Amino acid sequence: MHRAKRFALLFALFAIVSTGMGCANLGAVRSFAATSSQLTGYREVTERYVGSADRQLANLPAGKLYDPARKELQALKQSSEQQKDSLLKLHDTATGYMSALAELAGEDAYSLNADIDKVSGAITAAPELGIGAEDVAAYGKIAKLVSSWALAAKQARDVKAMLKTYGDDMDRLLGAMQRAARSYEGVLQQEKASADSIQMLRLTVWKQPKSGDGLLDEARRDAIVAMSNNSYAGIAEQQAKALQAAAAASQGLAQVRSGHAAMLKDADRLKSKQLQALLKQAVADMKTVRAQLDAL
Amino acid sequence: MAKQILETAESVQAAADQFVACADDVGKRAKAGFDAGDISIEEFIAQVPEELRLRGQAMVLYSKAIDYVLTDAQLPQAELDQAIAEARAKIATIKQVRKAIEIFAGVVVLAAAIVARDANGTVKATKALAKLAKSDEHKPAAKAAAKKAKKDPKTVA
Repeated sequence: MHRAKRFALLFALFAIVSTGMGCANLGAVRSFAATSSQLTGYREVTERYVGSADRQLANLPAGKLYDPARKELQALKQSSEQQKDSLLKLHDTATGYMSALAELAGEDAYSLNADIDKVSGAITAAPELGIGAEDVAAYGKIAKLVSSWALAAKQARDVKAMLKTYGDDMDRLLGAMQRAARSYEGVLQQEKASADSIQMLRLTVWKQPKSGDGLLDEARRDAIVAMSNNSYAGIAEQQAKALQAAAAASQGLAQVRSGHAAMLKDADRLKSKQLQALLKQAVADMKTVRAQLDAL
Repeated sequence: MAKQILETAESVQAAADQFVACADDVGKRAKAGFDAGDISIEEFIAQVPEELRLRGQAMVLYSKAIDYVLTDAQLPQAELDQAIAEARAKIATIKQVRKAIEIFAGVVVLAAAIVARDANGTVKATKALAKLAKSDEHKPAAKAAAKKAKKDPKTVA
């Protein structure tokens, strides 16, 4: 009875792990996918783009002369607000894909070693079953080796299949996001240029004395110009930071796209040293961009 | 012809760049003219709304380019949503295997308690299996094992 039971239990242990799925050497892929899933600053820049029309409308002079510009800004407001959810969804899909890829390539994602230890521990702790601790340890070791081997192969296959099946779609999505980021930069640059021109106009007009100004002598005009300049300096700083963030988002996207393209090209050789070095460099570059953004 | 030129995000962005160049030119000329005394302040003031209108048009075009971007992204986006679902299903499968192994370990403990005729141990192991059954994954297998053990402990061994 004991022999039959022992054999049955150990066979079951072996069978379970054999049908499961180890740990492939996908460290560089995992690290790249996990870092990419943050897609440096894209979301914040999207929000900045969507809020641009409102900020500009609030700063636009009220006169009728500015109605044509107002009309354009209202059109911008309407279209950017309509685009917002779809733009954020692009970001969510791209980060979701990279995050899923990182999870799939995860260090312990396909490892059953801890689970095998649980079963081995349960059998060892039950002398009533008549199975010696040494036997259990030996079979547990074999089970771990077999499962690691089988699962590492399966993990590599799954990661490769995901890249090969959907890599082109991801590349297209990243390309689309890069084009969107170019438009973000365009709008934010014009927001800054418009604000600079309005500020210059206001100061120029203010510096020109007119008859009937009364108590507004030169010293008082200078004081008001200084206050206006100080107030505008804060706005200009925010705009400059927004432009830096937009440029960083574009840079980050380009890094993700190029690293992803390299993975796609070498999908059959994900463990190649050349690819791993390239992905490690991409991760380092993305971290640098992230640090620059955090400093803004 | 114009429609063909403006049918892609890149072409619309290129058109927007042209409006930006015009606006920059209007602004620079007005400022230079005013500083040189070639135009009056009234003429200078009148140029700024024109510059802003051109910048506004450029921004509307940049935004229009995003409409094309979103249309182009629809298909790959749908495919990638499918990719995410598939990857999560694969991870879920492995989690199910882990849960199955956990249940197996629980059954071993239960079997040992029954063989040893340890009533307390049997109850404890049955409860542990029932707890496993309450988790979302592998409900049927754990439930069946726990139910069977409760009904007839000997059959499990």
